[in-house]
Amino acid sequence: MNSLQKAINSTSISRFRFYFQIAAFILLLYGGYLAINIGDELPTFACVYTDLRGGSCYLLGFQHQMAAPFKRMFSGRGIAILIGLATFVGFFVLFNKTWCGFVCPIGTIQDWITKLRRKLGIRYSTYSEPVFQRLSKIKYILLALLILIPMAIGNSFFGLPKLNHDWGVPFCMICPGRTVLPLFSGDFSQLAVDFSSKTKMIFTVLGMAVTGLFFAGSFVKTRFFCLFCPMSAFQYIFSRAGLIRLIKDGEKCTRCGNCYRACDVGIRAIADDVDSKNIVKDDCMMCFKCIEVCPEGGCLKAKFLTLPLYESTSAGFFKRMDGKNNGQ
Amino acid sequence: MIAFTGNTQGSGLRLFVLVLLILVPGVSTQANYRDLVPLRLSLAPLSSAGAEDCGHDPVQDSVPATGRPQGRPRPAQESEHRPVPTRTYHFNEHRRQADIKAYVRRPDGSVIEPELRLGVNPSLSFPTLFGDGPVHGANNVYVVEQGVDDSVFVMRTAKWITMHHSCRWGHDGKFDETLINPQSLDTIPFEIVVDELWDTNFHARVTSGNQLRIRILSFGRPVQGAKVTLTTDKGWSKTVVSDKEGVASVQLIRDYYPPSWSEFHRTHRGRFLVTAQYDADQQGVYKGKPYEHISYVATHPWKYSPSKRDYSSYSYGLLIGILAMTVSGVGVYTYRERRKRPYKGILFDE
Repeated sequence: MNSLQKAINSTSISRFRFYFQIAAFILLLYGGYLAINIGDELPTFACVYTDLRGGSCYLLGFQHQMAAPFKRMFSGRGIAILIGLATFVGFFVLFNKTWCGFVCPIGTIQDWITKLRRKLGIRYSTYSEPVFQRLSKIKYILLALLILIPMAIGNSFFGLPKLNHDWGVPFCMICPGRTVLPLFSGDFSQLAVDFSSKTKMIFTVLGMAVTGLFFAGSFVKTRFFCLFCPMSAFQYIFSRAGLIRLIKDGEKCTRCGNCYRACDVGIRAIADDVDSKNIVKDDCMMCFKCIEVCPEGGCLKAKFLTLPLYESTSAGFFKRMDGKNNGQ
Repeated sequence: MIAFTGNTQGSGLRLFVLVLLILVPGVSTQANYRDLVPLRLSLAPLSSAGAEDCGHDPVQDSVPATGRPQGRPRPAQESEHRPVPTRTYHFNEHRRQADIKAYVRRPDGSVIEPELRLGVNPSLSFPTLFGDGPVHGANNVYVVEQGVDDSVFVMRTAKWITMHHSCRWGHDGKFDETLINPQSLDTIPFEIVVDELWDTNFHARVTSGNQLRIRILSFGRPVQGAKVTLTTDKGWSKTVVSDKEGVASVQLIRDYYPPSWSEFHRTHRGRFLVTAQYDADQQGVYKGKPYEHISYVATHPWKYSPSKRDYSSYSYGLLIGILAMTVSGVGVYTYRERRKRPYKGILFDE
C-alpha cells in the first residue's frame, strides 16, 4: 500500500462527502447559469422543475416515454426510449449508487436536516428490522406505478378507458424534488395546489402532503425518503454492473455492528452478511460511512473496477475516532 | 343588379373583371388606402376581412378537461412541441398593384424566402430542417406588401412566429439569449416585436393578466407615436401609443370564462392580434408613382393561456404541507413520549 492510499484511508470520507455534496448541489441546481448541462438522463433527482438546472432527472423523461401507445413504443420511437435508457444506465454504471450518496440534491437536503437535528440535540429514530423490510418494498411499488400509470395514457388496459394526460408524470407530482428543489432558485410555484382538474388537484395535494412528511421525517430519521425512492429501486436493477463497488471480506468481519449503526439508511445486512462479496443492497446509497467506521483492516473496500478507492484500516479508524474525541 | 352599358368590347372587359373579382377573393382592389385591412398571417385560410374560415368559435371548440370533442371541427392550432418538415401559412389578401415579398428569419439569423402562392387563398410555405442544431427555436415569418394607393405609400407587414422545437431535442437553447428572446429583422420596414412570448424551454408563456411589452421597429429602429392595438379573439381590444423607444405596454385581459368549472381547461389557448399603425408625412416616388404620405401597418398574432392564479392556490398548498409536517411531527413526538420508561435503578446493599 503506497503512502497516498494510506493517507486516503485515514481521511474522513464524510467530510469529503459533505463538500462534494455541496459542489454537486450547486452544479445540478445552478449549472444552467454557467451554461452547464450534464444530461437529461441523470440517475439522480436533478429536478426538471428547476429552470436553470445543470442536468435533469431521468424519471420525468422516462415517464413521458412510457405514455406512448405500444404501437409507437415498438416502432422508431422505441429507439429513442432505448437510447434514453442506455444513457441512464451508462451514467449509472460509471458511478453506481454513489449518485445517491454524493450527488442527489434531495439526499443532500436530508443530510443538512440531519445536521440541524444534531445541532439541536434531538435524538434520531430507527426502524425495527421487520418495519424496515416492509417499508423498503414501497419503492418497488412506486417504480411499478410510475411505469404502469403513464402506459395507461397511451394504451387501454382490460378495456378500461385511457387515462388523461394529467396522469403523465405521476411520480414527479408526488416527489419532494419537484416542490423543494425549485425553492432554491426562488421558484415557489410548485407549492400550490392545482385545481384545474380532479387529477391535478389530487396529485398536487399528495405532493404537498409528501413534502410535509419529507421535512418531518428527515428531521427524525436520517435519509428518511431514500427508503421509498423509486430511483433507488430502478438503479438497483443495474447495480451489479456498476464500476464502483462496495466489497466486503466476510472473513475479516468481527460483526461488531459499527457499520450498521453508522448506516444512514439502516441496512442491517451490511453487518450480518458475511458471505456476499458485493455488499451493495437496494437501499444502499454508497456513502461509505460503513468503511469509515470499520476498525478491521481490509474488511470493507470501495473499488473502481480493480482500483482501490477507499478501504477500512485500523489506523484510519483510530485516527478518525481520535479526531472525533478531540472535537475535530 | 349590375347594368352594363357601352360597346360590346367594354362590356366583355367589365364581365371579365367581375368574374375575376368573384374567383379571386384574396386579391384586393380597394382604391382608398384607408379601406385596406391589415395584412394577417394565419394557419387556416382567411377571408379578406381577416376572419379565419374555420366556421366555428375557437374558444368554444377548445379541448375540454374531460377529453376531445368527437366529430367536430377543431380550430387550426400549432404546437410548439411538434416540429413538422414544412410550414404553411395563409394571409388574408394582397393588392394586385403592390409588391409582395415574404421572408423567414431562422433561429440562427439566416433569412430565407418562402414559396409564395398568390391569388385565391394566398399562402406561403417553407421547409424546416429536422433535428436539433442552429435552426432549433423561433422562426419569424414575414409578409411585406408595399405599393402606392391614392398617393399614399402603403406598407403592410404580417408577422408570425413559429416555434421549431421538440422537447426530445433538449433545451440547450435556454442558455442562448438570442434564442429565448424574440428577434427582429432589420430589413423589415415596419415590425412588431413582443417580448417574453415563450419561456426558456421554448413553450408559449403568455397568460391572462400579463403586461405585454410591445416594441415597434422600422428597419430595426424604434418608432415613436405608433398606434398599437391588441385585440383578443373574444373581441376585447385596447389601443396605446408607442413611446420614444418604440415601446408600448398593454395588460392582457382575462376573458376565458367557461360555463362551469368542470369545463375549465388550463391549457386553453386564446388568441390575440397586435396591430400597429403609423402614418408619416413623407413625400417620394415608388416605382414611378409619386406619394405624399407613408402608411405603415403591421400585425403579429400570438396565443395565451389562463393565468395560473385562476386555478391554483398557494394557501391550500402550504396549509396541506404544514398540516402533514405538524401531524407527523406530533405523531413522532407522541410515540417517543409513550415509549419513555421511568429510570429504574437497582441498588445493591453490600
